[in-house]
Amino acid sequence: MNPFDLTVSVVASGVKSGQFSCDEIAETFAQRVEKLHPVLNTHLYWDRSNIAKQTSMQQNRIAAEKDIMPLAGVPVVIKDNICTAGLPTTCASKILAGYKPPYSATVVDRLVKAGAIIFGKVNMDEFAMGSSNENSAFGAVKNPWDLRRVPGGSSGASAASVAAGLAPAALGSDTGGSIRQPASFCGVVGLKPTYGAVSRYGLVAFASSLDQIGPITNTVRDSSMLFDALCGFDPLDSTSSKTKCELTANRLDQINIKKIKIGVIKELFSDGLDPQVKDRIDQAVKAFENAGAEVRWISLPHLKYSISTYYILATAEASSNLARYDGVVFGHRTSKKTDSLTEMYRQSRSEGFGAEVKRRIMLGTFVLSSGYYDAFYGKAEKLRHMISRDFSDAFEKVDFLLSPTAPTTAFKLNEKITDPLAMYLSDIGTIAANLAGIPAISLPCGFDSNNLPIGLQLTGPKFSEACLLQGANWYEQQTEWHRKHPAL
Amino acid sequence: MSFKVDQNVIGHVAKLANLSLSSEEADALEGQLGRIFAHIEEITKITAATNENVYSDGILAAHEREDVPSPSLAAEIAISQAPAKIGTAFQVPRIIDLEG
Repeated sequence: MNPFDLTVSVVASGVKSGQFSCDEIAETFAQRVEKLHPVLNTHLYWDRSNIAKQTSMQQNRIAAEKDIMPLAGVPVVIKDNICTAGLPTTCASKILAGYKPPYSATVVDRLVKAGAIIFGKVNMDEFAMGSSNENSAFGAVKNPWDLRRVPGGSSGASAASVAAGLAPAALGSDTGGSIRQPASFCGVVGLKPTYGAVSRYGLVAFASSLDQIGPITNTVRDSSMLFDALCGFDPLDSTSSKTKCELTANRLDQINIKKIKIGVIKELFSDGLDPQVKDRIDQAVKAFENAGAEVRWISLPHLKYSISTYYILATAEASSNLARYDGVVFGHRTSKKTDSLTEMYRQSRSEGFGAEVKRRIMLGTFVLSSGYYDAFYGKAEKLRHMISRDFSDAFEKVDFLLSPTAPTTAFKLNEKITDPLAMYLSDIGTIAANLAGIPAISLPCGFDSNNLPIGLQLTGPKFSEACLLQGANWYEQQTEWHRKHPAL
Repeated sequence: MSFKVDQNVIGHVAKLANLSLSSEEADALEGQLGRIFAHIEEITKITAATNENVYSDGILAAHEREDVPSPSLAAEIAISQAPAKIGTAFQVPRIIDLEG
């Protein structure tokens, strides 16, 4: 069976109807994983016997429970910062090498309840800090479209796995673009939901006010099916929203494009935008306009401060969240003799964390420190509020916003790794949605002259996933981009 | 405000962050953080943000739940991943001077 024909939608309906078994589907994708993981370096944990147990369990449920199994038999790879009980969860860090959580994340439980097969744990930038999947303690991941290039990050392996046909779906996490940017670089669909729409229970925290889990898939329909299975209030997550989760998959086609108002974000069409990316985005705008949508320029005047705001707030939260990794309760402890508990903490952390994580901890610690807190962290909180208000003002005029996901296509391995500021500045297209807590989706809109994918981003108001997915689905159905796959 | 990232700053922040940096790491961080701060320092100068009320829309309001006891992680499970343990206690270097 061709793995790219086996979308989430096709697998789930086929398994429930008996057209294929869970085992057959798992076998098709497992062969792909075993063939391509050595090339791409996607998987950190892979166990055929564990998968066999899952397929047997899910297959046995189908006769009696298929009505509550919208993802029956669907293999889903899980980013390695999402807890899976009894299976390693390393966050791609030496400090958590071998760690096996005693509980699973709510999103994992919901996937299993929906009938999905947890198809291994995949690589990422360490503790979700990075935009290239080069910051992993277990080696960089390669882009399936060009093995000399990055897949993006931090959910690089999640996006690469779906793009390369290792699984029809993946879970990633997005704090500043870590689902959307790799989706853009790998030519797949990546959705960052509204903050609070999907439970963070069991997601290893990077920046707690910004982190969100979301799906990465080959089609918008698949994205909506995953979102519907994941979303909804979770009492285990104190930031989980009680706003009723509107299901999206059953009304994906219910859009009248002539009644839609779209804003194109002016500030994201500046000098740094690659001309070929601009050209494809312009074509996408024309597609909406020619179909009758009302399209206008929208300005977000404080967007230019979003990188600075993000790298103050996110690193501040990270410095606090990562303080727990001290070698006492779990994770790496130094084997060197230390004279004090404090020395043990410092040595363990220094041995366990990679360079980018240390850099962000240092940055975050500084902006929270005495004498600098008000000037940096206090000011950044206020700017975050102003950036959010720019979006609220925009959404009084338009239904959703359109922009390039990233200013360039995938860059080469090692190209930016020695220049952290250049890496941070490339997040300009995605970061603001996290600051505002609003949903955003990246989907393919073409290729550049090097046959590298280009991503189009749609951003909507809070809890507008249904409308956003309808708009994305409409665009996808006008094009063939989602049918193109790398020749691996 | 304008300040310079130097080895004193690096040393002070590393201590606060419980990190022990090699001299190579400290040198590299001085340059990298210097460039990063030169960029993010822009927001300290934005006076328009000074009076922004971040609490006006309830985003930062605390969420509450009923104070109902529920099962927690069993001690033997909580300790199972510890690098060093004695019984159900996490073992760490001595922190109290018994002869003090």
